[in-house]
Amino acid sequence: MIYSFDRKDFAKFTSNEEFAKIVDLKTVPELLNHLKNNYLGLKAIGKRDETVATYDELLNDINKVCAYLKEKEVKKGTNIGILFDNSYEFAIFALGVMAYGAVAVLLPMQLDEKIIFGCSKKYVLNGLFYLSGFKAKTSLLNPNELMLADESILNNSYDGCFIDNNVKENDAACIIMTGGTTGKSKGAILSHTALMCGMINGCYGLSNFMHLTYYSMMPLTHVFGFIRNLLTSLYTGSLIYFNHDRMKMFEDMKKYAPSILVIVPALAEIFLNLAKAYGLGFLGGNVKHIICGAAPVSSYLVLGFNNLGVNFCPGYGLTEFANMVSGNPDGINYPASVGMLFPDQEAKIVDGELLLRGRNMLMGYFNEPEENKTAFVDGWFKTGDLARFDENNNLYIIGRSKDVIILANGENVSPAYIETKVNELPFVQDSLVTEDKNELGAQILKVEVVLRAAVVNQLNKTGEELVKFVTSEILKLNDSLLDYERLSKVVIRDKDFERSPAMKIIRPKKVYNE
Amino acid sequence: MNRNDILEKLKDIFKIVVNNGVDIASVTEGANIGLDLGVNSIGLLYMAIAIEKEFGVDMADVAPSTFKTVADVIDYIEKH
Repeated sequence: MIYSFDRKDFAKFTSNEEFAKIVDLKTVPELLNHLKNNYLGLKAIGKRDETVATYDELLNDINKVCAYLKEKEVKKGTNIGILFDNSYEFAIFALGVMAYGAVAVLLPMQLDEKIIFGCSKKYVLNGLFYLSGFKAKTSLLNPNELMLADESILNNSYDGCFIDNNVKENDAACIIMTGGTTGKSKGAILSHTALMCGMINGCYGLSNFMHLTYYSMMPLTHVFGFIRNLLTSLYTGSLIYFNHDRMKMFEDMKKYAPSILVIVPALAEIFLNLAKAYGLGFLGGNVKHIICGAAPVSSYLVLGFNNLGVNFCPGYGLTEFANMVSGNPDGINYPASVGMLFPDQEAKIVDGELLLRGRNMLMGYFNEPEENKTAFVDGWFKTGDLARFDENNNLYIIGRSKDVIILANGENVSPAYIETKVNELPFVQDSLVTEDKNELGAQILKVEVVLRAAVVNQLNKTGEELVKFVTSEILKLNDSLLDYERLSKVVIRDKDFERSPAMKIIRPKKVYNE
Repeated sequence: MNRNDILEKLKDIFKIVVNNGVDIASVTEGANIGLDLGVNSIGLLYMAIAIEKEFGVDMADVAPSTFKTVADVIDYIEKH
């Protein structure tokens, strides 16, 4: 059975007048025309100097980026890196590159100069726009090989419009990293139409979505930050502020009084506890909607926020589907569901796994021929999520079949990456990293190992002494892992893992509690 | 304010950031913040903000992830 919803299925959640504002757009230049025709004079983005750029200023600066690319004779369709913090400049340069007809490669700001150099090769960068404060990160790049420029080019003046209205909907618009900083990072290529589809999907199911105030804490290099926060905010004529200093998060919220927050469950949990203890004023006093995703969302969050009068919408998304796959407009009746599949997509369940296809689907992973072969089956993308639909076609994510552990803060941990490190220890024959809980109920990572008998024999250690040695050597690896990748428990197995016919370890499927 | 007073105030902060059923009332100085309490990176961030507000301690120059145990946090607050 194939599941889908039509655009009109969402009309009942929104007033007619507001729903009519959802107009279809196919490319970034079409989006910019939409902004120009509808929102001139309105406030668009809060800047780091506390001033606010209007839509006029935003469009003017985007045009400057296009003009600069033309001046430098940058070839259309080539890849241009974007290396900024969460800021007005990130928005301007990413949109400018796409509006010119080049492909914006969104580079996470925490990458160091060696990884930036690696990315320049891996993604065949023809240029890089970067924040002047990040100049040291570009030190290994050769300006004779690729165009390098910082935000000071916005001081230039240009006459004329350099936005390319000939960009086609199926042209590549951007490349967004998935797998993040854990495991093997891949770049998902999203077309203009996919990006616009994801952006528009952000409106469905909300009672009101026009002219809201966003306060964004999600990285703009993550689809949830880039598409659901930034692009949907612009598309709806809203105003968006970025968090520039995480320690000032609550001060900012009091100052900006956001009406919508787009956050991960771990933050939603803290916000709910704070709102219960100190009132909604702690979140600025004006929050009407919270969009929550990027990790499994617990029902108690939906009910807890709705009890406080905040419309809390759990959703489901993937980088590969321009973020927005489904959203739940009726959390009170279906608190455990990630809601209705947004329009222009189809879904089916095969062997318990959710398969998707649609207008927002990625074009493929950049330069990953093997991944591109295995990620799809007959044109359907294999999400790796175990799912089911109820009798009203509401979607429920019930577990993971892919080899990724998703933590409550939205970080994806690749067990394979940690296992590779464990397997490098001479006394380890094979290992398996899984999610576990400690005796106090906290989520931890556990590693099970099978020891290499020949090496162990040479260690001259047995019993408790051997266990102590192995545990301590494995836990030393934590020094080279990120905080959230740290192993907390080591189990030494006395027999091999259960294996598939191909001799691969059979990884337990993760099942969520609804 | 002695160490015990600080611990009691920290427990109020942990009640906000710990959501996994851990019994906060029984938390001692020796508890590991990540492993025993299950505080994640976002919880650490709130913890730092709350410590600034509650104790008037400047947390701008310290990465919250450097605190391993509750005792480490109390040491830091006492020194600053």
